[in-house]
Amino acid sequence: MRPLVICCLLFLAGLPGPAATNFPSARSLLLNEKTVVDLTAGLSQYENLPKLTGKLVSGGSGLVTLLVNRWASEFATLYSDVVLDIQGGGSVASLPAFLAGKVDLMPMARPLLPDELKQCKDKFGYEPAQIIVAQDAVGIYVNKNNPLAGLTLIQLDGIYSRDHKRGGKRAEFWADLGVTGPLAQARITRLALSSVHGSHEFFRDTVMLGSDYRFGGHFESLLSSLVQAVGADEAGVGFGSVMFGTERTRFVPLQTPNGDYLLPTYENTVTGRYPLARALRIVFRRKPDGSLNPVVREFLRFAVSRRGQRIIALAESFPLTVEQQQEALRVIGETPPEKPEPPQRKK
Amino acid sequence: MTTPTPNRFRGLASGIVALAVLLCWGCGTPRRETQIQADRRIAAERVKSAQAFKSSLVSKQPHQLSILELDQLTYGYADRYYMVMSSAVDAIKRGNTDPIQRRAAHQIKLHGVLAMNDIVSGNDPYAQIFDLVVSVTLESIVLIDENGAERIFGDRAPGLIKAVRTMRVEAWELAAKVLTQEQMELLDYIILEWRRTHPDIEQVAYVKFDNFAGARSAKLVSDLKSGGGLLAPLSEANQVLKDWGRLTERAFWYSKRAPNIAAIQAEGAVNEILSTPEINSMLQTAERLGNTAQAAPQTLDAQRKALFAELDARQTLLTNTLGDVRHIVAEADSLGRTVSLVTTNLQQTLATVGDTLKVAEQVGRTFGFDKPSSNSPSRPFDIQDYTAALLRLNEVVTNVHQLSLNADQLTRSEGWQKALKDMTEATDRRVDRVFSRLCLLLGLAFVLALGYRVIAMKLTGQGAQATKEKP
Repeated sequence: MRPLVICCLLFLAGLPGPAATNFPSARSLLLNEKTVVDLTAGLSQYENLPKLTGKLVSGGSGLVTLLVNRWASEFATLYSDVVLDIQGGGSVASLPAFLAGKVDLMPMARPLLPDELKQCKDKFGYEPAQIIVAQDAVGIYVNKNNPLAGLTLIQLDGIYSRDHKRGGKRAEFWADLGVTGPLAQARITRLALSSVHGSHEFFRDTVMLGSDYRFGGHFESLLSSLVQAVGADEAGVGFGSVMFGTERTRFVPLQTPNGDYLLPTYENTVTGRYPLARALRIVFRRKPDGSLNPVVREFLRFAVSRRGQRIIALAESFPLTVEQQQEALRVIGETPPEKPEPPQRKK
Repeated sequence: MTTPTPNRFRGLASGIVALAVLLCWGCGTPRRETQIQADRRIAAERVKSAQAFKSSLVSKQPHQLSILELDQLTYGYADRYYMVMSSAVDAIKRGNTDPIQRRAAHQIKLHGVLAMNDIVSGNDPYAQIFDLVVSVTLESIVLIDENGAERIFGDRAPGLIKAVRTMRVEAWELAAKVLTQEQMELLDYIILEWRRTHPDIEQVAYVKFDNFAGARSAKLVSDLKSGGGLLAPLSEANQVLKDWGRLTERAFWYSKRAPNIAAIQAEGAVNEILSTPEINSMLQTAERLGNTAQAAPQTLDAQRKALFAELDARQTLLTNTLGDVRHIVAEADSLGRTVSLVTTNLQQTLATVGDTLKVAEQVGRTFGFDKPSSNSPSRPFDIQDYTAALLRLNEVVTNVHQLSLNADQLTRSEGWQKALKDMTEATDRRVDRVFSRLCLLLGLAFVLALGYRVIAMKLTGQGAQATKEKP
């Protein structure tokens, strides 16, 4: 009798359960308040506030403009006489305004391209300065019920690319990526950001090695909408900044060159082990003699300060390390403190 | 026939050699060179793509929408919203026995449709577009991104999620007709920030753009008013706003949809009442009383008579209750205007039923009917018929918007008459069944008594004869 009962129990245990996975939701990878305070404790604080008046115009990447907006809200409370005009619209669209001197800051989710640098040099006679203001990673979003365990860059290229320069096979259905169960026969819904976004270029260059996106994909103009589309569609896949994780989505671990599969956590992003880690930057005009618009200088000092980094980290961004902050302050022309406190990276 | 000259051969041979050299040179080009060329091509393509995009931004002169065009788009959107959300919500409610889920589903429809109608019938065309996007986006954040739909409706959630997502996409497509990419990004940022700082607010359908007080919100509106977006600038808008035709059209549009709104409100009120703990308790009491009555003693005594009397009284009371509700329906026109009145009247009516049932239960307890009997008759007294009739009443009240159009006609409707008929028949069947059982028992008792009499007479006769035969 007992073996029969055990057999029955084993059979029941083997039955397929509801469509749910044990993977953590995308939101659970973001930093909590305690971790943010610990991580930013070593950064130098924003001090020595000068008396300041003037105007600052920012225009560039929509993603980094989110951060600029958060800093601007706080910065405006410190300098009531300063006028802030924050615009998004994308890096490509903002470059003409930057070249024309109408924009002081150009937030970017990627470094300036060689031809863009050349244009700036031709126009100003010197290359513009750029500093890293936050860490970010491009996460691969899937629906929370998607059982996909991990992806290689070759597979990712097979999903999105037209030419498959990485040598993989074209992935049309989820079964092509090794997914089993009810989702296996579902066709992959490919979502990507429109070409206005830096992530569009970043993904094309880093994952697809410059190849074009396949036909039939859905291009979203807002990242929040892309992530929601994945959350609403079990067959959806999309990519974008990890800042927008929701309860209905999760990140797919990506294979690193040494074979590990890693999630876009803070640690994996800061150490650069996650394959799609990237730095978010702000480009600005700084003359060769180091002179700089004082409002720009103070805004950038504030952005990379402990206070500025906590503001964005509490809103789901990854903050700078102490070394990155020091480098940013050096570029701005600010002498960093002599002995910064060691960072506490324990999560 | 001409023979090839040596010069010709030489020329041909030189050509072949040159071609071969070229091919060999091409094959022998180092891989690095190929890579460099490919990189150059990619870089050139990228620059070309970026330049094409830039020039498209510069040269493209988008069509500026007029206020009247925007009105038509928002009206159309509101109608689609009603249709899509109603379908999704009705699918959740269909066959759903959980009153909490039904109420929650209806609340989503009710608040969403009310907010949407409020927005599109407003007089500020600039606020309309922002309010519409804000309301729908926040709703989608709560129900999809924060997984609210699945938490409330479980397996029934996917249809609603799809509907909400569809409406969000349409709302932003509408916004894209009047806002630039950077304005949309700013609006999206403002919405996300508001939600981040107000994570506990569940009812977000009524959140308006005005709630997002701040310099950047004001800038967004002023940009749009000055023609900074794709909407016609304020000077033209002012002229249009003076047009009485627009006002008339808004009023006409709203009045045509008012009955739908009244219907949703009335249904919401009924759902609200039926899902309250008090009503649940009342229905359970009624069921318990029915079981008690069914378990009445089989003997013919005063208790049974009392039960009949109580059943008769209950039937009268329930008929009166139906009359009360019918009276309410007769006043449905005013109900359509003020749903609170529906709620109050219905609550009073149901309270009357509750009181009645409480009295009846007390009577039952007095006669000891609350103890279950093991001798259960063939078919139990089924209070569910009464409950079903009450639920049918609920359905009738649900359609109060139609009743408001013609109360008399609707009180004579088939559904209503059927409900009354079912109620009466159900009660009659119960009484008839008990009465027939009573008659049967009476007959049986009569037969037994007759038999007893016969046997007794026989025994008495035999006894008398035996006495006579004794010496």
